[in-house]
Amino acid sequence: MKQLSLSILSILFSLNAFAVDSSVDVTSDTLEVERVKGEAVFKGDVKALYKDVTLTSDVLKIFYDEKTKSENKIEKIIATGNVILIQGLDKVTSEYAEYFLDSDNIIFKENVILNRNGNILKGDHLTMNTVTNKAKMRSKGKNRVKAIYFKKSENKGSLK
Amino acid sequence: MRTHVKALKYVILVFTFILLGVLLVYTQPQKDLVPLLQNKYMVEENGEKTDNQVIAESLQDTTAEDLKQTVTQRPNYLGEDVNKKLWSLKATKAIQSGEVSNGFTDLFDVVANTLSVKDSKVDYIADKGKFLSQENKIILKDNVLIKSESLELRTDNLEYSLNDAYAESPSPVDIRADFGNVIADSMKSFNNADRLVLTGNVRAKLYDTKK
Repeated sequence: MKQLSLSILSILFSLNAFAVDSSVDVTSDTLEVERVKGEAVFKGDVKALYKDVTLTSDVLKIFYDEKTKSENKIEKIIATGNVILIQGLDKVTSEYAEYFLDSDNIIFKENVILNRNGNILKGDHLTMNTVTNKAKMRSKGKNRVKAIYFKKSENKGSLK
Repeated sequence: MRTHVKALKYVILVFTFILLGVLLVYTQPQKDLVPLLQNKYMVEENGEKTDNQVIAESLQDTTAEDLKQTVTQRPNYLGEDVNKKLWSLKATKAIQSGEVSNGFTDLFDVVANTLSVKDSKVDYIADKGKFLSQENKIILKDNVLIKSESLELRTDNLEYSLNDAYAESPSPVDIRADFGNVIADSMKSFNNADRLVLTGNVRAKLYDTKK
């Protein structure tokens, strides 16, 4: 089975990262703002903070909604290169992360590792909803989804 | 006897001519002496300095370099940038130093108006500026502000090429925009702030009106 889908329900990751209802604080080496295109690109040691969530990456791109640009509605955020998302004891690493604010979905791609309090899930593609906390891990090609669970884990959420 | 009378007549005639000559010379106005006499009279009369004296005293400490300066009140320069957008550069006062062809002009209370690519108004404001007319470039200093409908950028130094719609600041910048607030060590602005490149210790607080 080339592609294994694993649904993770009710994971209390509380991954409200970039469920931007107020502001996102970002630090980096450079920032390029294309106001006409509605894009902001942070490069170099990027660190973004939202509440208790920290996201670091090599590059972070923020795309504003073309239709409602005047309202400053962020359409999506893309992080690439050494992506690390941390919230409390939860940690997701990948090479690519894309967050769609309208649907509250975050997609992690390439060498995705989900670590929650010691429980590890590896795959190529992780979709996660920040509101329902529903997540789906997939893998492509010969790679298969791998999971390591600890019985005595004090996970707040459950995995399916 | 008749000889003596005749000789006496000649003497009287000659003396008369000499007397007339002397009177003619000394009763004519002496052009060179008139101003001096008048000045002397004015000083003595009013106790005030003459215009010549005032001018002479004011130029006493003036160097040749100072004399090359030209002061213009409320100058207004106009031009067009690479995007075919008109720009105007105004100030309350301009002091032209050196030759016009290769000199620069010191400006005070500078305001440059232009348009972005999408025709939104953009103003460049500063307390002081040096305008290089040959390049249509201005170096703005002190309380520099780039202001548009959705953005305010503040810095201490800004080099703005009016024809290129390009600006560069080597100093820290503080941006307050509709998308959020940003600070950085330096900045480059293209197409009148339509595109901004911020470098060095970038810190941004981005707003989202989603919820």
